Amino acid sequence: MIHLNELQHDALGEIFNIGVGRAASSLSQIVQDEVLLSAPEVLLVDRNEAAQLLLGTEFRHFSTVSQQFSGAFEANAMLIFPESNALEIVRLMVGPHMSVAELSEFEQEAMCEIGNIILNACMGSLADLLHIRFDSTLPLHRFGTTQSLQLPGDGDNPLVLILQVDLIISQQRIQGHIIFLLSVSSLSALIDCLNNYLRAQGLA
Amino acid sequence: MSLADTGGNGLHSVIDRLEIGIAVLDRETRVIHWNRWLAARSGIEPGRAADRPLSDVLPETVGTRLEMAVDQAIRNHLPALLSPALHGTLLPLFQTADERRLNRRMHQLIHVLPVDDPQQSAACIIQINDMTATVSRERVLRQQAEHLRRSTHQDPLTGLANRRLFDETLAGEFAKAQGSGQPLALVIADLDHFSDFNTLYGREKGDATLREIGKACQAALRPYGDLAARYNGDEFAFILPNLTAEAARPFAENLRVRIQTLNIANEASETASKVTASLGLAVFVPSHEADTNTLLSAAEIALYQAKHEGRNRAVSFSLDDGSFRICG
Repeated sequence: MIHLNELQHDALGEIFNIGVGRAASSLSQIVQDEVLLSAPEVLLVDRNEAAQLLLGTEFRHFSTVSQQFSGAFEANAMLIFPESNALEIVRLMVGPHMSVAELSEFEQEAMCEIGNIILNACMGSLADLLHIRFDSTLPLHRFGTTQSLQLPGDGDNPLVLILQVDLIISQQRIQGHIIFLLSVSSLSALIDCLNNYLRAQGLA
Repeated sequence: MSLADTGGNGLHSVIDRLEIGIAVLDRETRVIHWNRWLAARSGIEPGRAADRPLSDVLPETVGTRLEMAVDQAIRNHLPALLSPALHGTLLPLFQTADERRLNRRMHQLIHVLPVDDPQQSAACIIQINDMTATVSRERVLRQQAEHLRRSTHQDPLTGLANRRLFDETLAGEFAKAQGSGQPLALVIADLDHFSDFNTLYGREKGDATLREIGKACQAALRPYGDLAARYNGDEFAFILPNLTAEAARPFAENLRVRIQTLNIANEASETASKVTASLGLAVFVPSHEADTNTLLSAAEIALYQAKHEGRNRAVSFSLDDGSFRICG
């Protein structure tokens, strides 16, 4: 099984940390209040483990925003919040209290935008620092239960890169995950890019 | 390449026909195309926008997320969406001259899309949809939903919770108390001789009195967690989570005093010359076998005892030993 060595792992953590930092400042500007995103913890796990990690939480309903990235390598990137947390984000950013049934396309678009900011910032930071390029689809928002939260893909992409992040708006901590589904070849391509980056830094 | 050079281009005339706003920018964010829709809504003619950087054409965009999104589209080739819920009226676009005069901007959904077009040097498209009608429809729907929610849960006369919300809340608090092992207190207050009051003073005065008592009930609650409901015609009920019998008895007595000291004359009452109430209190830590009826019945037994003892008093009933106690 492919794994990340310590240098590669740290480099990825640092790159995504820059990304979420940028995302936090964009989100702060929108809500005109301090939004903090914690330094993400990077985990590379296989799909079954990932499912357990995500589904092992007490939450049964999820809100996801996904974008399909292609270019230097292919990645299906997804921001996942337990549904109640997603509602909390929308409530804090948009306003009044509402239930999922009342969530109109406006709030769904707002979730799309929040996901878009965070995912683009992560992938943008990868692109900047690794000197690579991606194309991407527009963000797609979905609600789903644990049953329907199938990690897309098949036997070809057994590995999942997970970033665990805490989003803090108005002093309220909201936990979510950013996951990247990568095929074996895409993961090798990512590791090659990381190695180039580390060599350029004189670290490998 | 300027607009003048591309004026005859077939694709550009198609873009001009679109009923959405389109601005095409080059790598330096200079305007390559500014369609008619956008010209009409922004009040900036295509000729004036051409070849100038976006920050110059629309200074409002400087430092905004739109500027960042454009930068990201050009530099990182990543698309972005600016939702009306979070940005609303970011650009100074107006549906009509009147709206412009009143400074009523249209609500916008903005997409920022990267393009690869070396020939025309286009690097980014800004697409704008007018969401104004959708936003106002949404507001109306939300107001209606809010109104509906209130009418299903609120007693229209007193503004207190209605029976439906009372039942739902009692079930919820009961389950919580079962889980936490904390006590749950319930008070039922019945106005003394109130049907005689209505007969003597009329329905209108009766309603006004119920409203006033409703306010007094609401004012007696703790800031969080308590619920006061209009239970029946002239009966009020109170759900008081995490309140021990020792703390609930003064609460019930306080309620009785509050109602009495409103000093609303009731010449029809045999109890006093003013409006008074009899109150029944029950408190218990619900076991897993118990249900809400146990608590309700206990409070009703206490209320019956308060009436039996001469009204205008608060009585508690203990489920443990079947004893009654005068509160306060």
